[in-house]
Amino acid sequence: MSGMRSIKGTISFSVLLLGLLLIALDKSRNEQLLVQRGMARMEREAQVTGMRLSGVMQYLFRNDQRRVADLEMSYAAVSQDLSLGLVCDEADVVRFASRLQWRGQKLADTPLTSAVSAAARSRALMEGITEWDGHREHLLAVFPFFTGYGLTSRGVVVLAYDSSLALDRARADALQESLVRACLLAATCLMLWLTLDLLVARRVREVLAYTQAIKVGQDLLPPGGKDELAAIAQGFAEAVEQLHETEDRLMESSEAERRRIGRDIHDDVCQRISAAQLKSGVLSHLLAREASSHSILAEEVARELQDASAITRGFAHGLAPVGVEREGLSAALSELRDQVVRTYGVACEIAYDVTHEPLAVWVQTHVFRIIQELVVNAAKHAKPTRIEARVTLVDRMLRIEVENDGAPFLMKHETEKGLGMQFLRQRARALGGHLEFRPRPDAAAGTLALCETRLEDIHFTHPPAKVP
Amino acid sequence: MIRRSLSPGRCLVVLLGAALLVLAQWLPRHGQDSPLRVAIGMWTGSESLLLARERGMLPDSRFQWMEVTWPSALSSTLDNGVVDAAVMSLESVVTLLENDEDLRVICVLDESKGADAVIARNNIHSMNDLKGRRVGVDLRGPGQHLLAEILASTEMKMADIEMVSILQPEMVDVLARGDVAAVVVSEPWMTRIVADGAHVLKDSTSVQTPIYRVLVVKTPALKAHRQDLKELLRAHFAMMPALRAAQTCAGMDAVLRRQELQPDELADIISRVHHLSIEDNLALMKQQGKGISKAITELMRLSRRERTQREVAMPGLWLDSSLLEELSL
Repeated sequence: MSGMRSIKGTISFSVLLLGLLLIALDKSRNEQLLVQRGMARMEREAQVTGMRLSGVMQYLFRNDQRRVADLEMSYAAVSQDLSLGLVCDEADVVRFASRLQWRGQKLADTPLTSAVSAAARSRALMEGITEWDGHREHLLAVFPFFTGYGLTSRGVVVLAYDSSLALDRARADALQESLVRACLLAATCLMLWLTLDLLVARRVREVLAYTQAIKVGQDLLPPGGKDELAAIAQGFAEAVEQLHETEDRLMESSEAERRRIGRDIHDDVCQRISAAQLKSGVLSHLLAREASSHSILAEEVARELQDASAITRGFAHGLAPVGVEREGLSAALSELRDQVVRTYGVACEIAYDVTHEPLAVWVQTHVFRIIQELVVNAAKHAKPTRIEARVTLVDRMLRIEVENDGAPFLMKHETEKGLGMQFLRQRARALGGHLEFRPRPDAAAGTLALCETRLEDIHFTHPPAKVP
Repeated sequence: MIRRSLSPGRCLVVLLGAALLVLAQWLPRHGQDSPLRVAIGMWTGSESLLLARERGMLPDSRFQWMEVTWPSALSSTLDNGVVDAAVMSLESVVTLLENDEDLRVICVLDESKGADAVIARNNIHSMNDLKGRRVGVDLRGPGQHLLAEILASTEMKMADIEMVSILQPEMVDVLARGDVAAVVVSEPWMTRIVADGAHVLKDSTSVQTPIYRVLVVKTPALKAHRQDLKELLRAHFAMMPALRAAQTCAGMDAVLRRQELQPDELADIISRVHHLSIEDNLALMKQQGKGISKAITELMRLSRRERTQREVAMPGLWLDSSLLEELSL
């Protein structure tokens, strides 16, 4: 299952996409917020610095403290956003400046020409003015003060702030914040993928392996645990168990019905046909002694009845091969061997070595049907020159082996086959084992079909003593 | 389970996740994009930097300037971390090193050849006339060093005079008022005071330990603003000839207005300032026990403050010539 199509991949990728979308949306909102904050901070700084400098300058002008005023302007330049700070007297001559080269110049001759009108307004109102330019890239702050003791001697502190650096920083902050979030989100998604892989996908794989094993007839315990997947697996196991029980019951009743019909045919119909055959033979002799022309007809009837008896007995054997024979499974297998040799012209050997421990009839039936299906299938499809079947029982381990030297059995197609293979597996399960196919050991071609199962007391008519 | 957990694919996922977390933690901060903060005083020899700024070689987006007229305030800005770099006298650097060892001298801009002097009023004609008189000195500059050497050369001691602490910007007024008999002053104040009628008793041409103006930086800035510092030095060396020519050129008006000097006054001052080239700098900074190292040792000894033997013996600790070496390549 490819990574992207898996549940873990789909969930992780969906979270990543959704998160990136949210981060992209949040980045624009965050950038706007940071820019607004940056501009508000700059306005506050302009007002605070302007008010402070105007108050200090009023004192320094009145007390002729020029050198201290120089120092004040030097410290005003500490602000990263201040592009130029000027202190002008009542004639708009720059007396102090954050850049000393502008001292002694008219305000109109400095880079802050645009502040002349604002300075005039500020002087007239005796109030501080802060205003942005049209693009909100430059902030101008003008704060008036008295240079002397007369009301007309009004100087101004002019501060020019450049917002471009601050706004660039705000945008860079927003971008960086988004990048950090994206990195954290990507890392989280990877961890989510790993967690899903370790905690969920692993469990799903266990359940999947369990269902696959059930499908090919292996008898496994469902995955443990207390999570939802364990409950699903447990439910599946219970359903499979019920299905197996139903199968067993169905097979058992079917087999019982076949045995009953076979026995009825054998015990009733076959006996009646045999009696009719005997009587028709006697009738034929009597008519022949009387030189009757009907003796030939009676003889033909006797022969027809003999054929009918053989056919009916064959039906009885097919329907109940084990239960109807006095020698049980051994004789049925011998009959099967003869039938295969006769029908398919293939050399066939079937060895049965379980005579000392009597198996229950239903077990014998399953064993016979398994061997019958495997041998006939091999003879029909593998085109072998020889088929060998063995049934052994050692320490309660029943082992059924059927091997042929024909074309190899293709496992890939096995599950696609018809009901025959399904019934084979059901019978193997009914015995408590499972069926598997493998290449014949130490041979260039051919297939070995193997069914192994450990038998319990229930499998025997008279259970043997258990090996300690 | 463990083997599955350690599969190459999962290891790669873990490593990738860890790398992303590290990246999120160490993503470069915009702080590294903040401009280099440079404090500069009124020393005429360093106007090459302002000339470069006026010509657009040092844009405001990368360099933030703090122009400080008070040498003591200039020292404080660097000491307090308000700026990353400053131009100041080597004497000021030695004083700063008393409390802050996180400084490095990266370039010697110039050597004073008469641009620092003891200046007196008309009634004082020689150093001997200063006995028992007040002499104004800015303790944060080279004044104390200059005065000590000049007194020693005239077989006088510091105790023979009354040394008073006066800031450079105050000296013009203080001397004019007669509050002191003489002042130890640097350019451009010296030119103004002389223009007011005072005269030079002795100047820096007669000192044994030269008076240097240096570019000193906070150590973290050496890494964070390395490229900016190189640009700053490159601009200084590029503008040095223009400043020495002291002729009308782009940006020179700003320098003259800032210094409040006429072109001929500027030319006169510059003639008493010996600017050092990159090669001069490397020679001066690389000589063990000589050059700038020797000057630092002498100034430390003169400062009469307690220093460890190691610091006195290894003045090279405060020097970093790596930027100059990179520029010289």
